[in-house]
Amino acid sequence: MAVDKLVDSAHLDADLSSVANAIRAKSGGSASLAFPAGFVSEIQAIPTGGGYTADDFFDPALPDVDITINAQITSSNKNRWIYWCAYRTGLKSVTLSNAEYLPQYFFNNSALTDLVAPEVTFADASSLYITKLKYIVLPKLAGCGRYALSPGNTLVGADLGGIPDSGFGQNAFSYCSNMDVLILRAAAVWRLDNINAFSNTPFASGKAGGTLYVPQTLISEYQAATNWSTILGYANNSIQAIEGSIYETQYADGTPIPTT
Amino acid sequence: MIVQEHFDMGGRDFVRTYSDAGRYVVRDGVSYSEACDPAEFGRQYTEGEPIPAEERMDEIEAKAEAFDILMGVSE
Repeated sequence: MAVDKLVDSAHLDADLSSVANAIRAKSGGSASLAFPAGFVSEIQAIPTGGGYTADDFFDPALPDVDITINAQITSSNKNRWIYWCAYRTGLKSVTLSNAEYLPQYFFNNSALTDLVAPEVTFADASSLYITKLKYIVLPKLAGCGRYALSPGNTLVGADLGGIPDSGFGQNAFSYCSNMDVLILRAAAVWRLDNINAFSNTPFASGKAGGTLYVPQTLISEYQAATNWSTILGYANNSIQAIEGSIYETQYADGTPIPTT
Repeated sequence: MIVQEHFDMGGRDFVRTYSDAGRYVVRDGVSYSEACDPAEFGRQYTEGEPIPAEERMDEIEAKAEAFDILMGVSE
């Protein structure tokens, strides 16, 4: 082998030791490392990432996990988010910190039990269909698509705070057989597209009955509104004022309403 | 065209209003895929825009709902 440089061996040894120590600090190993093969193999053995990788995220059996999705999801980019968390059997709690739009099928058939989505104004068709939610609390929701708010028999209450825009789509709460509390906080009546929004819920005809909570000033308007007049005409259903109820200071899930 | 059907519920007369042409029914500028009101309200609706295909109940869903009604599972 030809020699082309003179090297200070002590200096080189110190440098190599420094690199080896840095590698061992990451790998957690303690054995001496032969240069270069030992360095290479030790580096290759270091686990990647500090959490879930993209591959983990697409594993439907992802273990119990609480995640926060910070992406800005809007009506403009909704199509790239369709089915995003669907069929995730290990999913538990999700916070959508920056989503204004809940895309179609977003949580469909997942194990979602808790959802924090303070900015969502529209829940598209089947976005929460067949999940494990016990409560739906969406402080800015103004409308929803078909089957959007129908987790199924786990749901016991829904609390919606947005000023209604498009209103409730068909079958909005269908098959939520235990949902007997619905709180609508806005100072405007929600459009109810079809009474099938409450099919197979306690609010349906002949069922156990549910209670609709609205602002005191809107009670008579709801009693006269298209489709609401029929729902509220069923013997076991009732309408009550939010004011003076426990929901004046807490959401349907029992969490306190922030005071500003 | 607009179709109105009366149905009784607990001794009270209600009216179901819908379009047999797959269109929304409209009153006071608000559209509904189907409107149900107490008969004494005497409400009239006009035909509006076509209901989008994805919003219309498909044949299988319609039969499933009919089955539920016949079996007393649904209204």
